Amino acid sequence: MRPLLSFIMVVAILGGVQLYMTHRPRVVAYQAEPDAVAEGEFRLEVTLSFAAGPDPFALELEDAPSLLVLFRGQPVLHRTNAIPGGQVIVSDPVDGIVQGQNEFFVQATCANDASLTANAIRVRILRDAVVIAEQTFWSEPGEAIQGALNVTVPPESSAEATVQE
Amino acid sequence: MLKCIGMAGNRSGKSSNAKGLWRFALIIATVGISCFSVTCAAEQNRVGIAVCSTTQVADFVRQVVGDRWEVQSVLTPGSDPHTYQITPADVQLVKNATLCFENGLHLEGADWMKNLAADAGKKLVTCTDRIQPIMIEEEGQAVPVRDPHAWFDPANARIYVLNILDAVVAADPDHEREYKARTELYLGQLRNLNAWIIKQVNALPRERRVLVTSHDAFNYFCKAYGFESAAPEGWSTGAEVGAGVTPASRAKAIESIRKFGVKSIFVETSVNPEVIKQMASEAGVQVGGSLYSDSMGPPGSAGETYLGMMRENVLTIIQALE
Ligand SMILES: [Zn+2]
Repeated sequence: MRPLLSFIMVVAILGGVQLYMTHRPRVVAYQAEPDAVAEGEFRLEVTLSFAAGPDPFALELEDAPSLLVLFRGQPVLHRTNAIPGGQVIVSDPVDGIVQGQNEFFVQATCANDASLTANAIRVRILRDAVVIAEQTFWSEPGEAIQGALNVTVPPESSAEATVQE
Repeated sequence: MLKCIGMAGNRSGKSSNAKGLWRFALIIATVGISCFSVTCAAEQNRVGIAVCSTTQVADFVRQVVGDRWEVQSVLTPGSDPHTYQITPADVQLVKNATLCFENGLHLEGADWMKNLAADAGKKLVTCTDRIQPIMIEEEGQAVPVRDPHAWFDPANARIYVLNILDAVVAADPDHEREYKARTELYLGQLRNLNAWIIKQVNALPRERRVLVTSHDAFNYFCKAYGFESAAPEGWSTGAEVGAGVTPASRAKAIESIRKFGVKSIFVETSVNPEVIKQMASEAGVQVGGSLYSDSMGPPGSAGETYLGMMRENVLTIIQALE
C-alpha cells in the first residue's frame, strides 16, 4: 500500500510542477522608454568653501581626484590638482540632462591642512543661464565630502525644477 | 563465579581503556599532523624575511606583506632606537634577511640599521624617503636637524607604507596584486584613524592643545593636529647629537608649561620617566599618563599596532588635557 501511495504522491507533485510550468504567465521583457532629453543649455557650477587637494591617503596620488562630479556614471568634472577655496569650477555645457529625474554624484577631498574643520561645497545647475537647482553638502572634519544632487527637470524651460534633499 | 565475572569485567574495562587511549592518540596525531601541515603550508608560501629596525616599521611591513613574508624587528617593544646598541643576535638576524627596512632620518642612533645592512650586504629600504621632514633647531647646533619621528602624522604613515610596497613588489612581483590590495585596505584604515583623531582633538579647546613630553618626538603629531609641543630632551634621547637634558632645555620646558597653563605632561614608554616626574612636581602639574613614542606596546597590549598605539595616545592626551 505504502509504495503505491508514495508513487501517487510523486506523480502528483511532478504533474503539478509540469502543469505550472506550461501555464505560468510569460515573462515579457520590459522595454524602457528612452528618456526625453530636456531642452536648453545646462551648466554646472561648483564652489568649495575650502582648499581641495588629492586624497592624502590614496594609493596612487596621481589618479586621486580632488573634485569629482559624476552624471550617469560619467565624469562631468574630474580634477586631480589642488583647488583654492572660493573658486567657482564650471562644466559647460552639461549634455544628456533628461526631463524628470537626474542625479549628480559629488565628491571632494580637503587638502591636508584644511581638514581640521567642517567643510562645505555648493553645487548649482543652470538652465539657459537661470539657476534651476542648488544644494550645499557638508563634511565632518577630516572626511571627504560626498553627496548626491537629485534634480527633477520639467519639460519646459520656464518651469521650476525641484531638488530632492 | 563472582571473581571470574569480576576479572572478565576488569579485562574488558582494560581493553576499552586501551581502545579509548588509542582513539585519543589517533585524534591528537591527526590534529598535530594537520597543524604541522598548515604551518608548513604557510611557511612554504613565504617568499622572504623582512628585518625591520623598529616596531613601527615592522608593523607597517606586516600590513603590506601579510603572511607572505616573515617579519622580524630588531628592537623589542619599549626599546629606544636613539641609544640602541646592536648585539651578535642582530647581526645573525640581518644575515638571514631578504630585505631590511629602517625608519631613517637618523632615528636609529649612529645609523646602526644602515651599518647592520651594509655589513651583511643586504638591501635596505628607508621608509621616510619622500617625506618632507620637519626641521628642528637644536640648542648648540649650527644647522637645523631633520626630525625623524615622521610616523606620528598618519599622512606620513601612508608614505612609509608606499615605500614598503614599492620595495616588496620589486622583490616579489608575482604577488603585486595581493600586496596592493592589503596596502589599499590599510590606507583606508589610516584615513579613518586621521578622521577619528581630528574629531577627538576638536573636542579639546585650542588653548589646551599643548603637549609636553620627555623628548621631542611629537612634532609631526602636533603640526598635523594643531598642538604646541615642548620637551626637555630635544629630538633624540642619545648623546650622539649632543642631546639629553640640559639645565637650559629643562628650564625652557618648565617655562612653556607655565606660559601655556598646561594641566598635564606626559612620560613615554621608551624613555626613562624620572625627568618628567621631577619636572611635573617642580611645575606643579600632574603626569597625564604614558605615551607610546619611539616604540609600540608589547604583544597583547592596546599599543601593539600603529593604529592601536595612535588611538591610545590620543585618548590619553585628551583625557589628561580636557
Ligand atoms: Zn625619539
